[in-house]
Amino acid sequence: MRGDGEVTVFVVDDDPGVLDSLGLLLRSDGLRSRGFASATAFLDAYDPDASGCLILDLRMPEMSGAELQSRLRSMDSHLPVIFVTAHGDVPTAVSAMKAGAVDFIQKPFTDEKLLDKVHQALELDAGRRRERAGLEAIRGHLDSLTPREREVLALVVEGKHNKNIARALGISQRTVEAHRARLMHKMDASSVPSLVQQVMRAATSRQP
Amino acid sequence: MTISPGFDGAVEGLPVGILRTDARGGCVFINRGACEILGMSEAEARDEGWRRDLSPDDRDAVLRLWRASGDGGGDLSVEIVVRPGGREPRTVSLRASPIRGPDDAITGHAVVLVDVTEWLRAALELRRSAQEVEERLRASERDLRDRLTHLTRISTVGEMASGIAHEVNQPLTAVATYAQACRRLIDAGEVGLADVQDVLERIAREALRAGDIIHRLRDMVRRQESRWREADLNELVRDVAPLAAVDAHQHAVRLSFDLTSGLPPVLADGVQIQQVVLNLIRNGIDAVEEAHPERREVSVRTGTDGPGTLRVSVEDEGGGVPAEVERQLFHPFFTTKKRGMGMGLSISRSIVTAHQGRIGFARRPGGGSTFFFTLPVLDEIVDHDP
Repeated sequence: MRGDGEVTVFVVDDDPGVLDSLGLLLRSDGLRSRGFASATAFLDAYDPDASGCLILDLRMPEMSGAELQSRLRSMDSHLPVIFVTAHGDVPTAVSAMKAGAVDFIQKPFTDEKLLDKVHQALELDAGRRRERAGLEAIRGHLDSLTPREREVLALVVEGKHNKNIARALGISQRTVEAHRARLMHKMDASSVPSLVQQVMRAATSRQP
Repeated sequence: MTISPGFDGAVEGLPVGILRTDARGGCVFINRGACEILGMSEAEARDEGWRRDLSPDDRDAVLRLWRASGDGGGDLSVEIVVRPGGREPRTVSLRASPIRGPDDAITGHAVVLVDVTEWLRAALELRRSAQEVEERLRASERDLRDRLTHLTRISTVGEMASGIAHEVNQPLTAVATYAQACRRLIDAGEVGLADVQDVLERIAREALRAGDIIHRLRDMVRRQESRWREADLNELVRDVAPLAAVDAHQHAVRLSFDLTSGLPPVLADGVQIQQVVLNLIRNGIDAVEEAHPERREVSVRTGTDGPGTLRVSVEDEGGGVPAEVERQLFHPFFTTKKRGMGMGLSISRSIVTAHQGRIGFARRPGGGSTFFFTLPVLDEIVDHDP
């Protein structure tokens, strides 16, 4: 993760000094960062595909950090959010955590503490991305099946043997075997349990 | 009133000066009191002698009056200055009444002289002490008002404490973060001297920023005698802007300034005028705090308000002043808010009035209020008494 050019740490803080110094601190750790002076400036530039995390000042005029957070949630953003707060803002920070922020940190902070939280957030983001990528692969595989292969798949997952599947579909057992081999290949599954696992994952996850 | 010769003996010993003249103003009788007042003997006072030590102007004036009294026949009363025997001048009250003969013709005058020098001195003294008492009262009133004004300032700063702490925390956070980042870069050997110098400069800038806020704060809370001097209204507004910004920031309110340049100077106690500006801005912030984000804005303007008068106005797009509140708006201890003790507008009015200005508000079309105050430009101030 460290030094990986793909990920970006986004920073939104209306205080130019804090914004600039955070950029320097992130750079000192080999992280790429982009700073925004307001929540709206960030939203204008926001790319849902961007990977990384967001360091967000809680208290800002116009749109507060909490407002930006809820805006991002409504856009189904997966970007992990670390809130930066002043001393008196702890209650707001707590409600932000409940609303899905991964962490919060009080100003002023030590470099280790902030960078630790950033790396945790980046790992979380990477993990979520891997997860989503895997799911998308499964969905892609499922989409590539023919209607007949899908029928065979459903019965395989139910634990039916080839003989029963052939009878149920009114086709020969040989044909079932051929469909089965093709769908196992298309699904990139080495065994029936692995196939079942993939289908379960696709079935239990939310549709995008 | 006439005095007959028989009375002359009776009035001899009176503590006032009495003399009688003939129709031409020559002295025919003088008592001891008059001799003492005029600083001469009875013999010296005979005929024209009694007027010897009157100041030349008074001598002419008395003669003129004498003639007028002789023509018109009225009493005359005048205050004259006498240097009895050439000594210290004394102020003497002179009253003369004509004496008439059986044919009603004026045969002479009865003159009463009273040395009023001590009375006048006492009266002057009395007036002076009265003025002194009045001055002291005014001073203690001024002192009380200054104390109250100062107290209100302190309370304002107290209410802003958490915002100020936040605002000082920002540059401190930047300082700490710059320093830590710089150390990491140096540790990693990834940084040149020029880069370090650049970061150090930024650290200095942030530290000064924190200091600046504290400095302004200290100005507001420091107990100080009122200091009147020639001042640039825009500069006063600009100087208090960072403190106002603290409050605006804390309440997520935008604060904008539109200052007309080239305004003539005013005579002002700067800190007090800044207190008024800060107070009006904070009221504006309170008014829009609950408003939709797009209406959370307070605008401050300076400009002229007719010839010889400057004006500062603070506009908000809040809910406006309810009619039932309007009449009490400037009363002390009147408040509609959670924070504050309700002295803001009352103190502001007393400050502005002491500056020979006026304070008021107007409803804005489409909601919200404009609070404003005016100040006379320096050249227009006639007689300044704070």
